Amino acid sequence: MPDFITHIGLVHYIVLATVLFSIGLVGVLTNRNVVRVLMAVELMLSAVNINLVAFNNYLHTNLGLMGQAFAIFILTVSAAEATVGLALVIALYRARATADMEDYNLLKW
Amino acid sequence: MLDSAIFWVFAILSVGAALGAVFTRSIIHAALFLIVVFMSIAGFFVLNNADFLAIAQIIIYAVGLTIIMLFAIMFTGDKVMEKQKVNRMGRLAYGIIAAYVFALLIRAVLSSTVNIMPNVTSEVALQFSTQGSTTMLGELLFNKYGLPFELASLLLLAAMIGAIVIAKKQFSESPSQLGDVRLALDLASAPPEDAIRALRRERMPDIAEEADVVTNAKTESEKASSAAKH
Repeated sequence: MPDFITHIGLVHYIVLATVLFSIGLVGVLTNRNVVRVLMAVELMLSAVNINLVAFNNYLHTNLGLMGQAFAIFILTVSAAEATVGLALVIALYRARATADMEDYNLLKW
Repeated sequence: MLDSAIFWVFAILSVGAALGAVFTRSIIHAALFLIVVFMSIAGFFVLNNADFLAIAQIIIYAVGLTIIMLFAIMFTGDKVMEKQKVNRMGRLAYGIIAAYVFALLIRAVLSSTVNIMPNVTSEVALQFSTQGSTTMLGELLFNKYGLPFELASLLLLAAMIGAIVIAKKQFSESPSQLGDVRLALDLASAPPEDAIRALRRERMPDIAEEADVVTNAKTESEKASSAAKH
């Protein structure tokens, strides 16, 4: 078996995180439903977390667990963001009776 | 060897489920795919000696967040997706943008000068893989990152209150409701006929004037007839 399959290095995790991040980006750009866009944003944030944890494990183990601590902070912020975002979605749905982003055009000139 | 096998299983699972979450038709299915993605990301955390983060990922993302997402989906309904027209040109353009960003990132990764070969043989890493890293993470969070930790809790509190305030139904003191209260107080203290007249004026102003005219005319004619009797 080739070496890159049997030996998992930092590159594997970075490439994987990049793939997940790009899939999330596609989701943010192409979806029109607000909830789905929020889901894609969460996907991108998780991909960043993979990067932090992998870097912490492979490069800076002797310096402690800084990467994991930052990953925890990202987790917290993304949870807060998702909560407020979904509350906004519900308030928007109440005001405009739709979850389609194309219909939120009150501020469009 | 086992590690790499686990990595590839989780990698295929996560990428496949992420594609499913983004491209599937039904939103409910997208949320369920998202659970799979978050679970496999927790698997990567375990592979990288981040035990606490793995469990936190499962509790916060895979369970908590997706449940809230499902709630939001139930509130907003998923019928919108079915009838919307897909803008193919726009989708293609967005796909090209995303592919370009992906290519840039990959190029940056592969051309980086940082030593990205594994050095998991270090003593600390070995210690983590046998004893777990949660104790050290807790010490780090409560000593060096104590202030950011408390600020994060403040952020969560603010987000919670904010979410409740934003999503709650608006029982505001709108002018009409305040007017209703004032009107009710007035009516309670006024004599019945005046109260009826005031209510009519409040509720249907255009009819009220005619009604006033009619009642005035009636009282005039009554006065006149009583005067004629005398």
